[in-house]
Amino acid sequence: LAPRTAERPWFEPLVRTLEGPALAFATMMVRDRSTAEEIVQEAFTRVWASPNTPSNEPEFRRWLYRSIANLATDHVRRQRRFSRLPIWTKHPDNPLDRVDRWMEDQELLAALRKLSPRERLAIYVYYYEDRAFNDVDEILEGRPGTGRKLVSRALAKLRGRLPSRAAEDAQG
Amino acid sequence: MMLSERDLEARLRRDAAVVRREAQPDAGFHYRIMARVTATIAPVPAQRSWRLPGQLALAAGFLVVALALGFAFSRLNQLRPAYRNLGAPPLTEMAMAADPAHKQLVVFGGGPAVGTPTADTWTWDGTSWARHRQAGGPPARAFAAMAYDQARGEVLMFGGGLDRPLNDTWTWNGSTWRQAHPALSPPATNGATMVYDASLQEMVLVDQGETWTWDGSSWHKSVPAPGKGGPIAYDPLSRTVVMLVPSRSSAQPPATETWTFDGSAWAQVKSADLPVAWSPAHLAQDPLTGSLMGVDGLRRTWSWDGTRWTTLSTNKPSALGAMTYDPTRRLVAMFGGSTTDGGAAVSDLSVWDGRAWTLLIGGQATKPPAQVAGGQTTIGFSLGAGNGNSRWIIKRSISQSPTVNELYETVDEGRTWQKRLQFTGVYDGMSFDQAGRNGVLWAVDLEAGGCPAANGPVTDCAHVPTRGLIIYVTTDGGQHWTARPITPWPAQLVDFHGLEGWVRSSLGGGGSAPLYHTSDGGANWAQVGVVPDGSSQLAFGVGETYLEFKNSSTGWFATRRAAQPGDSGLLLTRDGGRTWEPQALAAPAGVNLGDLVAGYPWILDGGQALLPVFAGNRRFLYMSSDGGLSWTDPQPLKINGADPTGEEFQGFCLDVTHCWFGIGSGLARTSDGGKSWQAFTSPTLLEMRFTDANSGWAVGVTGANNTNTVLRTMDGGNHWIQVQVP
Repeated sequence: LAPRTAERPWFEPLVRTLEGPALAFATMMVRDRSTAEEIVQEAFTRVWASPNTPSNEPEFRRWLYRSIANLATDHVRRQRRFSRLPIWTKHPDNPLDRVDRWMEDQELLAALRKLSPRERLAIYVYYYEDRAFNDVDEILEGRPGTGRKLVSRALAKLRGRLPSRAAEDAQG
Repeated sequence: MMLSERDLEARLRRDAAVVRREAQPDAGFHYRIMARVTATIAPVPAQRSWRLPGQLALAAGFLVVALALGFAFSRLNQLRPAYRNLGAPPLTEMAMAADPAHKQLVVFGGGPAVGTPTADTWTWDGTSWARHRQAGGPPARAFAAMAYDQARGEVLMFGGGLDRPLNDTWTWNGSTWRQAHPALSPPATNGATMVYDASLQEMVLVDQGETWTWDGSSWHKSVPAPGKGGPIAYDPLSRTVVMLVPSRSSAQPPATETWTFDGSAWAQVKSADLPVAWSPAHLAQDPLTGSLMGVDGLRRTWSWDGTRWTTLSTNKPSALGAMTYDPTRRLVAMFGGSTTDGGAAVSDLSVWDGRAWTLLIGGQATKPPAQVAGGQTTIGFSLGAGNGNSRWIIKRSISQSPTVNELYETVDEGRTWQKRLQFTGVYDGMSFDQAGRNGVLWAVDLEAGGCPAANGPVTDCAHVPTRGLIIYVTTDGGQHWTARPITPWPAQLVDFHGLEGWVRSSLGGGGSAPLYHTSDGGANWAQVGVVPDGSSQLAFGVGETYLEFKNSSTGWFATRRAAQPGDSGLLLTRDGGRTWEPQALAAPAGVNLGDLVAGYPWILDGGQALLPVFAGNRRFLYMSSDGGLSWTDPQPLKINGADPTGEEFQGFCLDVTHCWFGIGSGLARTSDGGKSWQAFTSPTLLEMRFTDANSGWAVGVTGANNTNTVLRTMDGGNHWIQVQVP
């Protein structure tokens, strides 16, 4: 038992560094704060429980995000069974804006979920964490240029799956 | 038509902003992660056999794992705990800045009381405070201006003093002060405010209508500043310095103006004038919005959106000390300050996470408060029953006679409180039925009225106590309470489950006493039997402590008598209190039966029950798998192989595996039904309740003045934070 629970003084500082980004990543995936918190707690727990938990931040982050992505995917699958769609807790005041916003959320969420895990993570790191392409390369453990290529590919897929508001307005 | 890439990127960035706002972790999130992580281990093969009662067999697998975790927990305590306030000095009139380069808060000067400045430097690393004394360092002072110079990675301090203001400039590099000797300096002052301007990449100091900038080696006089200066902070969103200035108009009440500095000139934000006086007050970056927040002289919290201020409906920091944004921990820290009455400094560290203030308390155990002297305002608390999100606190003003109690409810974990009832009496308690709708609150009418001194609290000084039971009933979950008539007989021990209750009356002289029963919340009572005598040392105690009913027929009376063959001192009734029979206990190995004194049983779900038992200084936890009809398998409460100290057996059992008990130096917790225990340092806990393995509430005694406080834990008792109650 001892090796598994041996002292890991580097663990808590990594939690402190990554808990915010991890929560944002999970929130992007599930759109529900309490579910995202649950997923992040469970993800940290899984990373901790592994006998080979990495102690350097880039690799730790990779493990963590992979775990969050898996947990979020499981959550979404379970949720689909009950046909429940998550919604934001805060909405614009105008009811019509609220409907628009809800639809936009759902469209974007659905489109993001159809991306491959690596594409989704690239989009998240680049746009949601507002980091540079070389950070995306590092987090995805890819060669230089991987991040740019993945983001570009993901954008093309998203554009194909998201309707243009202008086009909708013209139709409506 | 396909969405353009530009529109898509804009949409993603808009969504990212919403996600980031929604996903800001609160202060407790870190606790929750670490609590869950440290309570987790992968399954291990069961290699040992366990003697367990039959109905505990299902839990056996978990117990084996949990025992193995004993080692894990002891190791995990070596992880640096998050956000504690150990060794905090009481300080007032000091300067404070956050030093993210060294992950510390830095405090200089001030003293233990108003007008007693020192030359001490203190640093806080997120857990503990450390004092630094440096020969040749800055001389003693109060009210220095201090802020972190991000461009140079060091803390800058200027001026301060008390009777003789100073104009010296010092820098702190994480461990040492170094004096700078610029050719030109601002005038000597003990009232300047200073901030780092990230746009200018220079420090900005304001005092007496002047603006000065510091570039790392020289002070430069800049443009005239509005007024004499005031609370100041850099707003990252507008990229300006924001300062609050007392209005120069003679309007009453005094107003406050908001000014911004863009590096070249000050401009008033007219829309942000406030009809309130802010002084003394503070501004800092808000960890949630990224803009600014402020605390005014009445300790109200405000939020700045770039054009106007709004008050936030939140609790208050415990004192108005020095305040700064701590980017390392993404919190605003408010430290120290003085009490409003005597000028004595406090060591409180309150932190703002963007939603609420929490007070970080020290880990040193303190003694219960001394006997209350007449005229003192002393507050007591007790915890009410909770259901769903409701938590109940009964707050007592002990200095009044009869004692006045206020019942408060919170449904948001203590951020806001609603007063639901005011009542008199002592030894209060409350109970709801399982649905949480019907409930009873009670107290004993025990105190004669005491006529107050001049200007004292208004009380009923003609009150003659009846020793009867004061009862209030609710049928709407506690929103409204209805008073019942005080019982015509004196009450001693009380146990309610929803509207059904039992009261052992007191005849005033010991001996057997009648037992009364009600099934309608005290509207009607019937004497159902006689309860035998208890220990001669039995105090007039809290109702739930010694009388405990599981259902309408089965209950226990803990006499607190020493055990003897066939009689543990714990009496059992199986006919609703008509007759009572002693329950037998087998002494643990190596313990004399006559040394055992039984507590009262914890009746849990599924026929499980636990019974704490004293044997001198040693403690044991007996188990029952037949609903408390028989007790076996005593587990010693040992921590690291030693018997804990402490006389009280304040405890709480959530289920058959999770229990907490107060010990001399803090709190003991078991997560495996008493097989192993972990010890946590905590304040002296007078009462505790847990809603799950991690979340708990307690009434404790904290601080230099042994103040009664309401506490909350989110990691099973390892750390406690103070909850503000109105």
